[in-house]
Amino acid sequence: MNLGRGSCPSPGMDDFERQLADRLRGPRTEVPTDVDAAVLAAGHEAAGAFRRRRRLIVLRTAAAAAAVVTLLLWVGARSFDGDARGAGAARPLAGGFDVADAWRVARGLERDLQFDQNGDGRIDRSDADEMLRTIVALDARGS
Amino acid sequence: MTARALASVVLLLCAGVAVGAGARPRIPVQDPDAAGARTETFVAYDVFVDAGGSSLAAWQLELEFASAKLVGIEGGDAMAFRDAPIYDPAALQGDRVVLAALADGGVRDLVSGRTRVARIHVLAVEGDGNPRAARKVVAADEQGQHIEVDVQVRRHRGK
Repeated sequence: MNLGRGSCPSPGMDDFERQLADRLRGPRTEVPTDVDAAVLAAGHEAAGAFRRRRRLIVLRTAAAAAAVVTLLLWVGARSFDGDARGAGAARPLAGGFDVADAWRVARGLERDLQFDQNGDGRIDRSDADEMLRTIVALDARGS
Repeated sequence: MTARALASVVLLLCAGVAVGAGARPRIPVQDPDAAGARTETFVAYDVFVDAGGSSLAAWQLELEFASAKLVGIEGGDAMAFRDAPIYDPAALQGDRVVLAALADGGVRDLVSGRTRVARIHVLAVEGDGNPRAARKVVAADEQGQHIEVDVQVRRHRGK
């Protein structure tokens, strides 16, 4: 006897086999129409919410990318009209120091011997002048 | 042809060669009004540094001109930056320069806000010299701390 899955009883099957097949399939459950509709509605609502969230993510990502591009273009445009903005904490330039270091040396605010440019063992204005000459030297920049 | 006639021809030829050899060579002279001739002009640019509310004690920046040669550099308006900034003499007759200056005088002479710190004189070979935006700008206050500044390079309109 081969019941198979979802197989229908053949006209030739006797009552015992038919009853056995029915019991093995289990009782047929009828879902009320309103429950079925409610489940389908909930499913559609969940799917719609997912699609709305995904659309929102795409829009936010596109807006962020547009903002970045706009910012880059604005910064680039400013660099072509003669204006520039100084970096507050600039990395060391030629010689490993910049004009802020030279100012501190000139004013006696610096005691670090690494700024002794002329090797006289003192940190004074002559060292600051030497630092300035290094800062403005063109050959140090590969010109 | 008789000998006399032949001699005359030879003499004439020799005279012609002598005249040609003694003639002054023609030197082509360029017509300044001809199409394609470039006009070089002296142009001055003022460099302004705006330190906002901070006191400007020191500054440095790099300038480059696309079609001009540097011919001179002057100081600015404020007493602290009256003297010309430090620069590499090799920059003269070139198109790029790095300027740096420490404020002279005492801390009381330091200025804030927008200040003209230098004037650059160039020989523009095309247009107005086409200055590029200042680069590698660094500035410091009276404590030697880095500060944010805005730099403007504007053509000087002589009075």
